[in-house]
Amino acid sequence: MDAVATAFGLVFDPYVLAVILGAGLFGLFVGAIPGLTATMATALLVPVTFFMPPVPAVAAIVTATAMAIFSGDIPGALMRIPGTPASAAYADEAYAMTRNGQAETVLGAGLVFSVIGGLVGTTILVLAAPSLAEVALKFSSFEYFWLVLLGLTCAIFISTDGVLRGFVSLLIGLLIATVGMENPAAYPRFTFDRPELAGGITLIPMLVGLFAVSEIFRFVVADAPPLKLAQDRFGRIFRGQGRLIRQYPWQTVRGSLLGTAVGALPGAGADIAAWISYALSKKLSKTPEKFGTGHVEGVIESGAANNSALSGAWIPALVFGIPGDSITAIAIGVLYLKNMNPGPTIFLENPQNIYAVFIVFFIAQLLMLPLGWFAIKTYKQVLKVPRNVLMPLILLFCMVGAFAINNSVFDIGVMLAFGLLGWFLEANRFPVAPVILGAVLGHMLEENFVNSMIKADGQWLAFFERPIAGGLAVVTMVLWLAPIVLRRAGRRTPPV
Amino acid sequence: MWRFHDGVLGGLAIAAGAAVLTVARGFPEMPGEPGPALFPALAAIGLLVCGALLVVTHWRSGVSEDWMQAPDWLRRPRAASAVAFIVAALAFCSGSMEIVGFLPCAVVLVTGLLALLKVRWPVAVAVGVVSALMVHTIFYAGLRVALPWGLLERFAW
Repeated sequence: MDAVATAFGLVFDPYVLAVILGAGLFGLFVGAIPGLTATMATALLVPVTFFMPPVPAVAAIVTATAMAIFSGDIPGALMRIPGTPASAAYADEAYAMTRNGQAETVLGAGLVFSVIGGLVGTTILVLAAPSLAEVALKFSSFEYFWLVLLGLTCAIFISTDGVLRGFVSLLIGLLIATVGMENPAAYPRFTFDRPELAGGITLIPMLVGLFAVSEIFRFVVADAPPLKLAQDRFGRIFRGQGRLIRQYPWQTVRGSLLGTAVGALPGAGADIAAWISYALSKKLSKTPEKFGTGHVEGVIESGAANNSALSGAWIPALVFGIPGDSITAIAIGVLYLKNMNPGPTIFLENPQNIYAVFIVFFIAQLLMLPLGWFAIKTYKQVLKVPRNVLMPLILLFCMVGAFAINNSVFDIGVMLAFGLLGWFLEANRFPVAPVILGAVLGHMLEENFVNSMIKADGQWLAFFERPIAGGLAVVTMVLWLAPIVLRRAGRRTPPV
Repeated sequence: MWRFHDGVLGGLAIAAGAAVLTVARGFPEMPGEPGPALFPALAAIGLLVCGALLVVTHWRSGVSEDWMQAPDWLRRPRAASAVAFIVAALAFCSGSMEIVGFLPCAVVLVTGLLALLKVRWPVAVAVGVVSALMVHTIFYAGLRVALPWGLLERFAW
């Protein structure tokens, strides 16, 4: 209980509350501008959080991402342009509602059910993470090896651009992780005699390049028309939301639970949760024919799913150090910078910080109601910020952020290189999330593999002998073999 | 960005895998345990396999398409200039910011890109100067980041 009381003290500090408020407004702004994503918001925040104590640093990321995922709904509903990829699944439906004169209803539903989804996801995070951590305390390098491999496997198979392309992206990430001397032999690999590369490629310039600079490249070459709102004045957005809660309780619960589960899978973030949830909502709906015509049911379910996925992604991140999505991959980098190394022992060594993170999650969700209302009411003004002025300023911020981590101009070059790589990968339909997962988890995979091999004295069977390790190995291998078996079974089935 | 068909992308993956494998073969061996070459070599082999599969997939698809599609923005001088400017400006900052200093680099980066994005020159210059000074104040004075003064060293505070 002492740790919980300390956690409350850590969070309800004027500085931390001011950071939460500032990060919330920042997240709302970034999410509401088409072309700027929640991941970009996180990447841009990192250089600033670098100079904060651990709790406000994590609070800034948690709050900004939750707000950005919600506010991505606003341009989706008003212009049919999703503010973030997480809102893409139901942008058409939301826009159709606006065209039908129901802008207030759909914007209010986006806000209210995002909050409900976020609260459900956070509750599951709070309940599941400590229990899982107790189990994880018994894990050795064998279990961790299989767990990381399972996580990477999920990242490939969930990839929206196909397994083969996801695999290539993952291998690029794993190769990035091999750069430097951070390997069991402490041998300088692929450093090209550059002292800056001895410690490996710094995560933050890489992330800023992949998620922010690549987006700037895409903006400057896009011949984007000026943004026009379908409606720019809004009445009472909360009117009728109580009725929707009573009308669609199962959809809300289903979206929240599915979102949390999908979010917890490595590589699957809020966007995939929303797509799956929208499809499921249509399939199980009593009125599927109304979908696509401006029907709120799918918006409710997938809106709850994408926000709950954010919390779900933190479960493997906190317990095992395995990110659930690109955002938690960045957050893990921040946790390491702040000496809050993720893993089961964090619940023993730093319980007050973990409880503080949980409290921040709840505050962020609740704060979304007033701030979200404010964002909707002032959206017309937000759109007046010209994007052709905003983008150069973001580029300047990226440059300083990349430099600030190591005070090194070399990292500006790293950022540029990864900006071009991210742009190239996206243009050629390779997913970017597996690159990040590979780069973050590569060290962990190699370290646990080498430690296990040393423990096992080179005996491969030792990887399967412990019960949990064996179970994880079987699940991983089933995932690897399933597509081959299914394809062969499909070939043998005679055409009907 | 340039788009390539799967055959070319597969070829690129094979070339990258082969290059990594060649370098990794030069890493020392560790008696009795996996050496530093093992992981890069496994990843490189993975790239070789994936690259080959991409080539085969393209070949089997029978689709005839150009090996490369040049982006349409190349035909728009302003967009092409903006891309070239970002690459050149960031490369210049990476190579010379310690000598030239943060403030001149930042002003040139922001002003130049604003102008290429159709912002009027007076506004571009004003925004460039003000934003550079603001970011410098926040990071240098507020967050204690050692942003280099370079040519403006004598004005350092």
